[in-house]
Amino acid sequence: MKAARLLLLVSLVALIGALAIVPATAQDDMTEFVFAHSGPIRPMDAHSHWYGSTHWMLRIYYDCLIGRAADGDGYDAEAAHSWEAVDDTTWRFHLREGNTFHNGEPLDANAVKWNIDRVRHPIGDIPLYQQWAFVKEVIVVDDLTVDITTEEPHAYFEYDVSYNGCELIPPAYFEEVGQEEFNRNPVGSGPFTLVELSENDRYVFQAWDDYHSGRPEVDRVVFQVIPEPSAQVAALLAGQIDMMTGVPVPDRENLEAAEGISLLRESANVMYHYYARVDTESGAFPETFPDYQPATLDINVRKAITHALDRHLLAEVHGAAEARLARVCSYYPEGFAEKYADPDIISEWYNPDLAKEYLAEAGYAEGEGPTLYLDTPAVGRGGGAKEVAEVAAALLEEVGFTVDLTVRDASAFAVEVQRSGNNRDLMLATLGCGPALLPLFYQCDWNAVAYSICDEDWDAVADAIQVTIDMDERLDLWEQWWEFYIDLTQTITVFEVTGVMALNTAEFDFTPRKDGWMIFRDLRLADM
Amino acid sequence: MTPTQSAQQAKDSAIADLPARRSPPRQLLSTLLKSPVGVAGGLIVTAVVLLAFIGPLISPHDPLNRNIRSRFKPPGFVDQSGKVYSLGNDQLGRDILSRIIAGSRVSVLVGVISVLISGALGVIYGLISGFVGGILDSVLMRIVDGLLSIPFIILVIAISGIVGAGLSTLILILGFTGWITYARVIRGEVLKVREMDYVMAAYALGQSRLKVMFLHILPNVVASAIVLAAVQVGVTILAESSLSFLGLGVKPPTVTWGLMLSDGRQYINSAWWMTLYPGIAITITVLGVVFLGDWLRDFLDPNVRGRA
Amino acid sequence: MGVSLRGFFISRIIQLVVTMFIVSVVVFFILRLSGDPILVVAPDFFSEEQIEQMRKFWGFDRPIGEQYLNFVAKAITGNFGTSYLAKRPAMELVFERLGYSWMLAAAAAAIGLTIAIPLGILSALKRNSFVDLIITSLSSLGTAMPSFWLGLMLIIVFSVHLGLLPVFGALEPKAIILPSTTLGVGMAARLSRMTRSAMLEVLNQDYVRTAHSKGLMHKTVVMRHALRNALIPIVTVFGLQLGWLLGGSVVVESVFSWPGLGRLMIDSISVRDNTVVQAGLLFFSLSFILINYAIDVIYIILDPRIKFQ
Repeated sequence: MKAARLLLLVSLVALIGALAIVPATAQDDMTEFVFAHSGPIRPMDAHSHWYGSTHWMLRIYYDCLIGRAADGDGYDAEAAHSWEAVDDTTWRFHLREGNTFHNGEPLDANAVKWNIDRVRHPIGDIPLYQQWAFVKEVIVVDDLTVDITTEEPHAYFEYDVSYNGCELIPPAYFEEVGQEEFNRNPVGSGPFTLVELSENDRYVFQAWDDYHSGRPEVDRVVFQVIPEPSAQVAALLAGQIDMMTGVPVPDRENLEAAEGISLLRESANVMYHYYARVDTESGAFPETFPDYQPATLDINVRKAITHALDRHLLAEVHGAAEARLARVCSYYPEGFAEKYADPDIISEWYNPDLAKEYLAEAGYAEGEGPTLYLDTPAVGRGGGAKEVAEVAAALLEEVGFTVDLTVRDASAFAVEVQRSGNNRDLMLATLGCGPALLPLFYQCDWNAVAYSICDEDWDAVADAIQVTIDMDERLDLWEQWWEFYIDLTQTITVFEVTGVMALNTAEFDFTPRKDGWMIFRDLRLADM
Repeated sequence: MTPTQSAQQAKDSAIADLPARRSPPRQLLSTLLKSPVGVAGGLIVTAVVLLAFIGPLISPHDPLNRNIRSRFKPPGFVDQSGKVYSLGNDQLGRDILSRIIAGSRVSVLVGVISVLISGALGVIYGLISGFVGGILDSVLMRIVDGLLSIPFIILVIAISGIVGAGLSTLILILGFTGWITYARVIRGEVLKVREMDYVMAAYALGQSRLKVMFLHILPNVVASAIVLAAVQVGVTILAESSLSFLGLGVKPPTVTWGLMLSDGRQYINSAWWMTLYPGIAITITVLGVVFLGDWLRDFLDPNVRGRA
Repeated sequence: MGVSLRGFFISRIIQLVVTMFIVSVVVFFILRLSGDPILVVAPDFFSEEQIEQMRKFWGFDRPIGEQYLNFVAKAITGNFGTSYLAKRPAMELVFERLGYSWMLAAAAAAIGLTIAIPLGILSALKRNSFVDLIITSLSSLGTAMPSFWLGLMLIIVFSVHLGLLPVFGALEPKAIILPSTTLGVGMAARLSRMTRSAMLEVLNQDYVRTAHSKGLMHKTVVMRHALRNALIPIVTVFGLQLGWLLGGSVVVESVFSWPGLGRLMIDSISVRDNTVVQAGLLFFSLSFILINYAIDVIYIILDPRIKFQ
């Protein structure tokens, strides 16, 4: 019968056609390093977003003035070959002679001024300006010298000037083509050029022969979006990719045993905290729950919570984490009071009897603690949020609380709870722990949606930290700051996430950065 | 203008997988026993429903009881106290078998309740559309066409974004999105039935339109709705698992098979048992529903009966 | 004779416009209700002032009715807005992924048809035999399996244990095998059930019996008379399945990291990138409706008795 045969024929042609259209991978003798990125990857216009994992990728494509050193010790020269503080409020950067963007456009003082002025002003929906508000003025001294001034002495100037948005893009090209076309066909300034871009799917970078500090050793670095961790593991075992982060717990042994693959561990610069609600005014809370009085308004209840959590157990549940009492990642030397990371002190901190005493003090009879609404995303940065929350809920119930746990997918959690400030008693916050922004978050004039905490004395310490350039003096202030942090118990820190990465060590050599960022400027070929 | 009539009918009946004509549901059990497929389907469905009700009594362990130290243990794991975990443990050391038993409850709840909701809505919608006809029919059917053209799963994902996750909201979402299929099929059936002699006779006897609609037309399209409902129970159970898999379904500590799959998928390279067994549970359950639906169709449709 | 061909097309175009209007209303309002996209886009520590500014930039501070009219006015001219996140036109992102989705749908449909039709016919011809039992059981099994689960199992066997096929992406021709098989199996299951029952229906009809009694060869009867008539419902299901493939591939695409439209949709929904979701959904609906119109035309070719009405 004709129609049936025709149908079959058409389908067969379609099948063959489909197979033929799939592009074949370029087969050449270039060394290619494929990194599995869990996605999403955001636009190439680096000034237009705050997606950390996209900025990691952008940092091999763009130079900044200076970059943070991989070992956490100081800063590396990039577009600026040297820099110095002229006085307490002026920093001078000396640019490289003859340095250009990938398209040949000169990377000079005017280009730097254009970039920093762009990122520190609200243009369109570009939202980074408040994070660059420390800059007062960018002054072109001559073609190769640029000054950046600040209103007050800025304790974290180098740290902030090498943060998200520091990437240098070519002004003339950008103004010629506009943002849309720039996102399609960007032009960079870093050690790698871009040869293939499939939005939020695959990005192929190639070593730039003319890079001022020498051509990178690896010819190609590919960022391949693979959302599923299990698919990443399978792809690594099959040799399709060379590196992944966030190796699932049960796969760690297998990968370690696999030939040519090694596991790398380093702090991911992410911490798990439970935020307690300490007021009834901030965020959408008053409209959503007009009559709800969170039990956590009582500091004794908050103290009961912090002593009810067995942080070592929770870290074990997570699978790769170090218990912490305070929001200080191991990377930053800033006022890291050792006691808040000491395993023994943290073990003692877990004290159900003390928790029960605090509950009694708050006026609850034994075993009849208040109900806590606990909100958590299903995965969270660094993974495992749901599992951790389930165990945390069980621990809290052991001292007498009743826990009402709600798990949402990440975006629903962001929209419904975190960003809108609909958190009730407790919510998970997985956040980084950089020292520059941290004091701001707990200041009286910081209008955080999730909580509003104000302690005049704490505020004064925070103010002082931000303008104290002397390191020793600043560390003393930090010591005081952390006392307030622990004592007020608004942010109940649980642990610091350790990144567990797997690398094809047969072909590549990479030391994870101390700050947990995946920047492949220092990627090397393995010694044969 | 309406679409080509026969093409439309073919479409409608195709959606229903060739639905039934009329037949009073008699000798139900005796015919069921004659059909091996029906028996198999019946047994599976009965077993799942039974599990849902008496699950806690026969469950070997507490499905929520976690033990971090024995997580990711393979099937047949025996702990220090000699307890056996025949299908292995999950990422919190919970017993997979007990969780599969506990999960049957959600599948049954979601399958039955949302199909009841969507069936009721769809039958009423289709009945009104087909019976009233004219412009109202055209408008109602364009709405159905429109909704039908949006991929079901995406519609559900978008809605669940609005109302948030949870068992009851999931049931409602599936209920309020599933009616579209019924509306099309029932309308087609109504169009056929309303031209029948006995309907004409009812009018001739002076019965009101409302009476004709509910007393004469409705009973004659119910069979199609039942067959379709059987198909939809399976579709709904699968939809629940897809949604939970995508993280948009039921929230813990409620145990569902879809959620177990979703938990297990990031561990498939090493802890394959976390994914394999819940998947088998879903497959067998839906298979049972499909078998039962097949038999029901054959039973309710005298033209097909005896062939399968 | 019914009305002219032209009348048929004009009526279809009017229907299309009405349906697409309904879809646009449903899609627009569902997305607007599903939460504030700015809250997903903005980082954790943004101040309310920064968030307000972003909201204003994207026009979310306007009344929702006005937002809808703006959207429609632009959409008519082919402008579906700019992706909040990619900062590129939404339709452009949709078209970028389209090729991959068609490729996957075509391969899956091909697999589905090649398995389903011969098996369905065989099963109908040998009904109640052992072969029939096997085929119907397999097809029931195919309908009962969650497609993403089948996908995961295929990955375990063919990629992890045997190392034969790639796990993700669309970088080499053989990468399409696993995702298209995953989708194709589900489709084959439904289609073969349909083929079988349609064939049975037709084989039982009088004219086929007549043809037999006239002494025509069994094979001729099956091929010339039965299959042709059975094809009508089969084509219908195929059409519905094709629409389903475009949408249902959502989950499978995310299991296999296939860079198609389905994954774009999932990614965009999860971050409330509404312009992309709108563009994608309207495109889905349009293709679904057009496929069904094409099927109406195929009916007319297959069955001369059906007229334009």
